[in-house]
Amino acid sequence: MRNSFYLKMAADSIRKNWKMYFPFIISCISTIMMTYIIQALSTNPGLSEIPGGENLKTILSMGYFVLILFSTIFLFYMNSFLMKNRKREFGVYNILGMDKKHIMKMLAYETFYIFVFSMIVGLVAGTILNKVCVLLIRQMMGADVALGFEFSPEAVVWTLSFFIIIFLLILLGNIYQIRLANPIDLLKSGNVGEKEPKTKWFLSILGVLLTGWGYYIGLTLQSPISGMPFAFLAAILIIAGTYLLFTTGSIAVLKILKNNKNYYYQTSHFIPVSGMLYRMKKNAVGLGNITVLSVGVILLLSIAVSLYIVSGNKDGDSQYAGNVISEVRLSEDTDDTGEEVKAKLNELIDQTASETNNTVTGLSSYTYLNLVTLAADDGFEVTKDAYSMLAKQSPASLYLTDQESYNQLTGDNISLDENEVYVHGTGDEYTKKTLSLMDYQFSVNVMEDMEEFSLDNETTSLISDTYYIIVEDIETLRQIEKQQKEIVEGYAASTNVSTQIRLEQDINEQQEIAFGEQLRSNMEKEDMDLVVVDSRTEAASDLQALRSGVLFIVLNLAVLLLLMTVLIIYYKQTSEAYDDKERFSILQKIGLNQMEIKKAIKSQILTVFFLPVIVTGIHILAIFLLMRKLMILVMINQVNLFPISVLIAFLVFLIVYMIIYRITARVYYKIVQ
Amino acid sequence: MTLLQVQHVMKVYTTRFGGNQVEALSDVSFSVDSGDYIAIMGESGSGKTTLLNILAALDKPTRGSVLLNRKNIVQIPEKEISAFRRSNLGFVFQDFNLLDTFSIQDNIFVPLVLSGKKHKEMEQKLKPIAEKLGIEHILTKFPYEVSGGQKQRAAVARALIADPELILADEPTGALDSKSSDDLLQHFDYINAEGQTILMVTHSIKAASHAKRVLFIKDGNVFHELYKGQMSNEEMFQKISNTLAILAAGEDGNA
Repeated sequence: MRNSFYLKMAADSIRKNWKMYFPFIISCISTIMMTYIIQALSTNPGLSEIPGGENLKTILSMGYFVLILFSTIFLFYMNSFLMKNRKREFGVYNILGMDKKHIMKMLAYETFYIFVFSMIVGLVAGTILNKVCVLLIRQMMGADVALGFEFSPEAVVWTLSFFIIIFLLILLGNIYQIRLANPIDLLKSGNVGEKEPKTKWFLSILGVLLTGWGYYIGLTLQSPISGMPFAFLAAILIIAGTYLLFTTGSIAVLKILKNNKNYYYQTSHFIPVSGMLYRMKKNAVGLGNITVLSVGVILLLSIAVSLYIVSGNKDGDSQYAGNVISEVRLSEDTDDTGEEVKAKLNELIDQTASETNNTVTGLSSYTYLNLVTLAADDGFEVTKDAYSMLAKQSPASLYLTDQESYNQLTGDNISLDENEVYVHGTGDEYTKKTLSLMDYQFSVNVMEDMEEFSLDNETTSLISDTYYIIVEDIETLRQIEKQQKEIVEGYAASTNVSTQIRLEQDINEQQEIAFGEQLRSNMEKEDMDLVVVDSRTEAASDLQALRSGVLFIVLNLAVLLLLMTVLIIYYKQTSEAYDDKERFSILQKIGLNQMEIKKAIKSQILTVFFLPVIVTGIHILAIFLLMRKLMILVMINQVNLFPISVLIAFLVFLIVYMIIYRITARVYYKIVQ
Repeated sequence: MTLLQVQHVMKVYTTRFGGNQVEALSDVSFSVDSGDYIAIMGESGSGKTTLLNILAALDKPTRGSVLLNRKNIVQIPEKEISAFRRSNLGFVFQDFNLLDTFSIQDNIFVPLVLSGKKHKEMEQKLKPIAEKLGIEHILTKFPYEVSGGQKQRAAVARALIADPELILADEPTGALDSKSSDDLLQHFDYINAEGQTILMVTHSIKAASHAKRVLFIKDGNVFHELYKGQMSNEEMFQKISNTLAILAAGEDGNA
């Protein structure tokens, strides 16, 4: 047979199977489009010009890999639906005398057509949307909006090569399936009599236990950041539990309903219960998929909404009191009290100010030491365990400073005796009379109105317990540092001098950044042990870039997952409708009228649709606390808005879900009648 | 006592765009007495399926009436028709039409469940019927686990369970091997002997030879009628064969 014959046959078969091919092509186009946009953005030259743009590009290119992975899984899944429905057709071809080789050839052409078509449409749509996204991001990050045509040949090449690989893999998978099957199997596939499933009590109970365990971790985990492995464990437990509950638990419940004879033998229960029980084996995995995907969609959407809420307020400001901050590590020598460093720093700041034509209006610096410890009975214990990911106890963070620094910073005039400290806890106050810290035994004065001098307090204090401690003098501070170094070695913290520089009020962003950069290079020239030099603008832009990058990827993934959910439901409903068609026509013959049929169909569809939503809702409630703790990282002090984000995300999801329900229910009725 | 009266039934199908009219039944009249066992024979396309659909209230005739117990089923409103069929008619189909989602027992229960009967009552009704048809041991099995003959006996049990006035059977032996066919016809004979009225549409001379009366349909009319009377099944078989031969010959003569 000639090649042109296959070309024509492949085109015909796509046209004839359009109903089944359509969702597959839509999935191809949308995944191509999304991967192209992310790739094009991460290589967009214009973005590097905006402050924080480089960060955004890094995040985008990381998200790219996640997206590629998801796209591959998704397209394989969609393809499996397609193949299941088409095997019979291949069987007929086979029996009519087409070799398997010929079928493969035809299939290869079909795949080729779909590839070319989705690629063209996907890239064109991607280019248009890419422009829209660039404009949106620039606007979010406060850069000028530039109009013009943007096209990224690099992204096209990448997208093209990735999808050629994905399509080739799909084609190979299909060919492998056809090679294995004989024509009778191909003909028969699709209507294999399924045995009624047995109740598996052990697995059902296991499902309940796993889900419960996952919930328990979700509800009780104190610090999801240091306990990341536990958070992962919770996620895996809940997912595994969900699948078990749907596959075995649902059967157990249906069996119980069936065994209750007075319930089961009623018109409104008889048909749906038996129908669901019969199909549960196939159905359950689908329902599990829908549930897991739905949870994913809602979480991603709620993160996106949170990010959007947060990026509206420029609260990067609130972290820094000054325009520019610097932090310098003191030398190893414990006799170094930092006076030298401070003096040198003041000199450099003045020098920088004159070099950049700025005036320093305020300057405050203090010495501090930040220790990560575990709370003990009589104080705090410095141990390597505090840094362990698997620590049972959440660590307590200590910020120590000397009274001279504190007095300078705040203008207070406190005076401590030897071995006496002031303590202030950001969460609960310290209640004991004494505080032991390594070799030291301090007597405690609680100071509730102590100035919380650390910069990153807002984030850390929400994640772990934080205490501010003022010790008598810098020597004590250095001694504590030394002792701590001996215990935790590589993890050891150092005593730093932190300086906040306030510049003139009407300074603009460029001047502020220029000052920061000049100061940095001056300090580097003097060989100072630099921890950080940062300006308010840079910090805010970095944060903003981080947020808009994450927001963008999260939104993209959410849309992809939502699309997957929609298409899975659509395929599931249509393939089930074809199965049910015969069943309902028999029932009609032996005396079921249209109205009763409609009622039975309705109750069956409702269950299939809303069971996953209900389970999704419960899952979300269970992991809400965990999510809230994680979201502190992103939302910082606005984390109390997180419930609203979740609610908005859930509503958006529900609306989309209801629309799918309406559409597929209509398709279902149409097929069955 | 007359159970069913078919009077001047005519059915005309109109093609989709109203162009061609096809006359499936032109003028069919006959009556069935209570306790009768009737076979309707005819070639493919003779109109016997159309007739059966009209009797089953699945289709309405263009003209004429069908009286069951003096009630015209043509005039029963759409809303009540399903309930009417459930309580007055029992169906046996060529391809069994059992539901794979139900066990044999639940398949038999379907008409009762649809009529809203209590579970206890269902069990009581099932027992004697299952015994009579010899399917007690397969009640918990599923349709795909039993043989064709067993499936058809289950379908007969389903047709009988609601105590219908009339059993309508559409080629009941069509999908069965000869042994299962004989077995099923034997059961039909028993059921009929207990007073159940049966109306069967069939191609099979053997199946028809079990009936008390055979109607031959040709081109939408009742062409001929045979009474079994005291004849044995074998004699009846011979007679039906001859009639069919004449029918076929007549066709040739006309051509």
